[in-house]
Amino acid sequence: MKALHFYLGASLLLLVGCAWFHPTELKPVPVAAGQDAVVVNAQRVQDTSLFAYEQLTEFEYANRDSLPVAFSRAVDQIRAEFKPNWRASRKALEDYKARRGVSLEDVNRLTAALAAAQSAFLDLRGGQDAGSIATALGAVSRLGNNLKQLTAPAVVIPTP
Amino acid sequence: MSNLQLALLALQEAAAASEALVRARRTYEVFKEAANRANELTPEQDADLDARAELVFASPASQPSGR
Repeated sequence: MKALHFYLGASLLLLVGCAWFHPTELKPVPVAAGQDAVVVNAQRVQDTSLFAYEQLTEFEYANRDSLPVAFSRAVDQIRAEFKPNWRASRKALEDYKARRGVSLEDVNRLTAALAAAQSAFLDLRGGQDAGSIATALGAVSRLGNNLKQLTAPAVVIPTP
Repeated sequence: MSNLQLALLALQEAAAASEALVRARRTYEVFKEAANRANELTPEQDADLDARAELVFASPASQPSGR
């Protein structure tokens, strides 16, 4: 009976601990005077989304033999799409800072897409169900679409 | 299930819980550090972030699973 109590206690500790440390509870500090809030926020999310990607891929790599094939394939798709998209988001921020045709709205939209992807990665790392897989793949796809819009050539309407 | 089996299960669960807590704590620290950053990254920090990304992307965990 003591072992059963210990077992239940450990499970409860895990649940409470995960809730306590959930990163979405964090509120960012105000940006310092003279700093560009768009850049600061974008860099924050570029940093944390890279970490969330790393956590997810390392989890799949370490537990591959015991995970469903569908989960590994979903993470493979994330591996293939997140890398170029993350790099492209870095380039877009560089262009924004150098005033090379990337608007404030473009960067904010990209930052929001990266933040959605990182949340989906953390959720997928926590529970490998079909819904979490679909959410994560959708988030990566939307990130890519945002970047495509950014680099899409202007539509030229031919004059009659 | 015998008491011995329950005790073993409890130990396994405790080890997994401890590992999960360490991971959750690390995630919290990384997110907290980013949330507390009020300034743009310095050029050195910016270069460090790119270098870290290249290490992550080149790691074995970042390669296709082949499944």
